[in-house]
Amino acid sequence: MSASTRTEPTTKTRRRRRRVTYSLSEFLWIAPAAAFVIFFTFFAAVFAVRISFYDYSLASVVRPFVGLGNYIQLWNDSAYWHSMGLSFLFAAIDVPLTILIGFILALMLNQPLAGRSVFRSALLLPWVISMVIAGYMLKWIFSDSAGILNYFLTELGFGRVRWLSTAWGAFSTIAISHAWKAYPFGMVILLAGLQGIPKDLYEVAEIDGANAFQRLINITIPFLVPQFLILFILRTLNSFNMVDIIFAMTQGGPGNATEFVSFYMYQRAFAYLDLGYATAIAVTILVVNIVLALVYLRVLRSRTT
Amino acid sequence: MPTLTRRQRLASAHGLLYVALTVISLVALFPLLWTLMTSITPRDQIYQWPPSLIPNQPTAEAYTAVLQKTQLPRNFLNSIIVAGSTVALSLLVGSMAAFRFARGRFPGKDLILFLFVATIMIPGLSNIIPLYIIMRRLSLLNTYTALVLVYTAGNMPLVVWLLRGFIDGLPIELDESAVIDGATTFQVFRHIILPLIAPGLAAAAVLTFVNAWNEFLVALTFIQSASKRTLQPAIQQFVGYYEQTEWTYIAAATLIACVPVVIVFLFLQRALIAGLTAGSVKG
Repeated sequence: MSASTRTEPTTKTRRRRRRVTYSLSEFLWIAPAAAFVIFFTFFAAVFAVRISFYDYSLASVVRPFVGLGNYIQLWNDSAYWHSMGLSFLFAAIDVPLTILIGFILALMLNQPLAGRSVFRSALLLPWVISMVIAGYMLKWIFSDSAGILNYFLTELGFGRVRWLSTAWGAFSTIAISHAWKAYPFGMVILLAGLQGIPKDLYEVAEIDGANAFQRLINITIPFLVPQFLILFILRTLNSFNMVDIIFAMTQGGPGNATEFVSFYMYQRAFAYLDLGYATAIAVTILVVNIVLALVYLRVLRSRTT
Repeated sequence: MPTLTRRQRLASAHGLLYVALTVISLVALFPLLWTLMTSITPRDQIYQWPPSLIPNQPTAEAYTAVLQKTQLPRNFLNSIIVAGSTVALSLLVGSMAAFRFARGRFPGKDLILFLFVATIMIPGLSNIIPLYIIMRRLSLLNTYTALVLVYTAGNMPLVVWLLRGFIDGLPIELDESAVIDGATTFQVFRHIILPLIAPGLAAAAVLTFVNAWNEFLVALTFIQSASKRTLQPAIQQFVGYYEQTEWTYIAAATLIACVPVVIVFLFLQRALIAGLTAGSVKG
């Protein structure tokens, strides 16, 4: 562990000096990593709050302090509220959906099947494909006029769906596409959790006459509560900050039907060059994320005590 | 009605499970398979209706066009440089910190570690504007350095948490006996800890590589010149240019961009799963 346990220091001052230099060398080991986190994450977040009080435009050299001006503008900006609402709606659909799909697949993969690692690989593969590329692959499949999906649907007698040119079509397309990218994460986490549940619990329950559904409700789900909590928070952050797939598939359209708050913020910053206003939007996104994170920690703590 | 024995019921349940898993796996892989089919379809048959599921005259024309007529090979190389540097820097800096978080005794250790991990809650998206301004002031816009620094910072909580867990799993007597034999802290780190956490380093490397390779928004924002662009934003530009006409090119380009992560996935899947599960189960 340490050099100080090797020889017994003779006086208190020596011991203290030793401990101080010891701590210093500890901090040197950690300093590079800490520098990254402090500068690029903490400082950047604080800096964001500061920028949000300025009329900071990339197109202008003069950047006057406007106090809460950006936030007041934001309060009256219906496009902002529309985009925030869309993001909440999207998270409310996307998060439970992807966790549920992941859970069902994890339960299936947890059965003692020969060759299940092949299925696991196949089902996990979408996780490594980038969001942008997934977006383009799926855009071609969902294409209104030439897409293979509409071909299948017409063959089955459903007729064409205008996936990308109607508001609800585009929203659904984004939701389905994002789910394709996002379910494997939950699947892997929950599968690892399932494998940690002691097998004899199930045997005892079976002897006691509990059916499969009762075993799921009374053993499996309670054991997986920590995994579900973590998934809920990480998946919520992920779906709230999703922007790549919008760039690939809809550019916020048609109209503003898929203009999520993440995309709206980015457009205000780098299409309109209005960094001050965009940063105010970013700060509200950050606040939403932190509130969600605190709720998660609160739930986790109340569970463990 | 014949009653099935328990064994028969189990067998038929397994049969159903196989069918279901096969169908679901095919659906999950379909976007990749369909992109592959599109990429080898001759250009003039791409809008043919009804579409043929398997092209009758497969061609590699799109691949040669994309590799010879566009800057994609350059963008591919840029991504290798950026993702490779990110992995090296993240592992070096992260393993040092993880070592002392696991073994050190100093005031505020738990608090500092908590703050490290808590930065996962600050998403990259809301920091992108301040980081853009900072990089502009540091004259680092349009450099690989800017991307490597931001990606390393983003991966740091994950890498530190993951590696600390692996080091915690090693018996402390290993370090102590080495210290008794006269090893310095650095020697313990270099010759005892690092070799023993090789699986952890592999897991961290796979995750940081996939994250850096797939990152889009920061790369789009920080890099302006086409020759320095990494693959993800390059693909976006590429699609903007070819979308109306050449879906075979787009299909070929997107598949080429997937090759490294799919290779990593196929050969290091165990490390990937270890990283995903260890990195996410905290608290």
